[in-house]
Amino acid sequence: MTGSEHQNTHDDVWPPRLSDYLDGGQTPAERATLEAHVASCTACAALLDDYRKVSTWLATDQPSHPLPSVLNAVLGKVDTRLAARLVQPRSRRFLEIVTLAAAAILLVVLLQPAPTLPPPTGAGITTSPSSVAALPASPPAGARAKQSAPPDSYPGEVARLDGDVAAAASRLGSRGMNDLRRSLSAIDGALKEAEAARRVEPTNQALTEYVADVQRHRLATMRAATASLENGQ
Amino acid sequence: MRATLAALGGFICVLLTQPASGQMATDTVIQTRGASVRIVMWDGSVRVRTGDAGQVRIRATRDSSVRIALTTAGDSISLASSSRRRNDNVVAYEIIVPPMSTIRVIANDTEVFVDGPIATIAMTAQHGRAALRGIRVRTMVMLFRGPITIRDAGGSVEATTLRGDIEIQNVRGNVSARNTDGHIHLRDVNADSLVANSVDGEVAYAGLLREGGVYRLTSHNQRVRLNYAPDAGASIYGTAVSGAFSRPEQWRWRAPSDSLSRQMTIGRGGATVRLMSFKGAVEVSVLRPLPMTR
Repeated sequence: MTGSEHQNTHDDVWPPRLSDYLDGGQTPAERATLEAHVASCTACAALLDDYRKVSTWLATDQPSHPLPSVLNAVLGKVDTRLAARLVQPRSRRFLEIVTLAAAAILLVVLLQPAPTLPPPTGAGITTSPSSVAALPASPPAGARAKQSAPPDSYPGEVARLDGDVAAAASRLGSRGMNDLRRSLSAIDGALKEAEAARRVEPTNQALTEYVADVQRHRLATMRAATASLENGQ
Repeated sequence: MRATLAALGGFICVLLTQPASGQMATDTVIQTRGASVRIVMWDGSVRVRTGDAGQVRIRATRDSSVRIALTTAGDSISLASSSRRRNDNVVAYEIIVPPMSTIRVIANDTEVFVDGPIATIAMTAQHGRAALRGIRVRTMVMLFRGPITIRDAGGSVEATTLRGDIEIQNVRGNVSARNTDGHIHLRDVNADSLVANSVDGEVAYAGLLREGGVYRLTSHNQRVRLNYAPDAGASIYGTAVSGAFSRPEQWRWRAPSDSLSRQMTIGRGGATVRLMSFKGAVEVSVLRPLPMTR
């Protein structure tokens, strides 16, 4: 058997079983066989993960700028195998199950109360929040760009975001984590220098505003990084 | 069941596969609806441009070992690539979407090029590059490493890269540009609010200043520059902690108790500009028009 034939056989045998597996329609022995295969086959593991993501996407990633539906909802493709897959009974059954699952997820999401902030874990990226005072009061009117409202407690917000990053860090490779650590370290260095200058001139309004600027910069950087991790990096 | 399917907009999941491994394969999918395209990928590139209304065309060029799952839900299309070995998961997408569509890209190392008019783009990548033009409603880019270029945009722009330059030009809408290491250069932003903040890079703004707009440029270690249009009006507040002010004669002290800050007014003073550099210089000058050439 050539490599290509082997690939064909694999694709014909295992992906449809993944659908059935998610359908819950297999016997325990079949499920065990499939789980053993998925454990050793990265392609099927990735495929299974993709299948699972489908329902999540439907529940969480609705278009932010929806446009009117086009009535003619026909998928066309210049690949006859694609059409063949679309009419496979197992695929249809899988789609129905996934659709129902997605509908259930949507229902659960709609019925859930507003989310609460996770407690800070203190784990993850090293920070130096203890040396930072609370953010100053609102800046002079007309002299500050409109920015996201500063948190009541900078250390608390840093700790909370640290927890978010730590929780999602496994999805980020070492290069990304190193970049993030280096950036936050650089911002912390700038913050320490700004605070040292403010200690020399504690009544200097510009320095007080600058300390708040650097704090906002750090929080915005962490929020952007966290948001990217939550998006499925 | 049929009613459920219809209510959810005809949910379709398709796998694009090629049998032979080690060869490049190209698929073209013509999707007759889809105003929102979401792409989850590892490495590669995404090129988006606009075409006919009500039609999405997707061309994916990849190694034949890479699988692409295409999912549709209502007006949304999702593309997710996977491969046996993660490093093989490289896809070059060319996508034509209806004007004012929404694009979302989640990737590891990917270059994204968009030529609008597109309504919204959200891009996240650990490494890569974003070159975006014609985003009309909202632009959100987060790169861990790589440059960002945004031109001719509207609505709001949020550009963050930990290590990389940011260049933003000709925007009508609020802008937030942040990096740690890299320059931030902005030009002609017609905004209520502009915030540009860098730790190790130069921050420079050139061009128009909107009356009533607030422009805030900050760099810790490098200079901050304002090159304003000749007809601009603004109250400019500058702070240089350990750096210097260029042309100090044009500034006056902001307050007797503040030895670090100075201010000046240009034109009718309609905009507010705050320039802050901790270790670099604060420079303000008039934007000179380019000389006419024959």
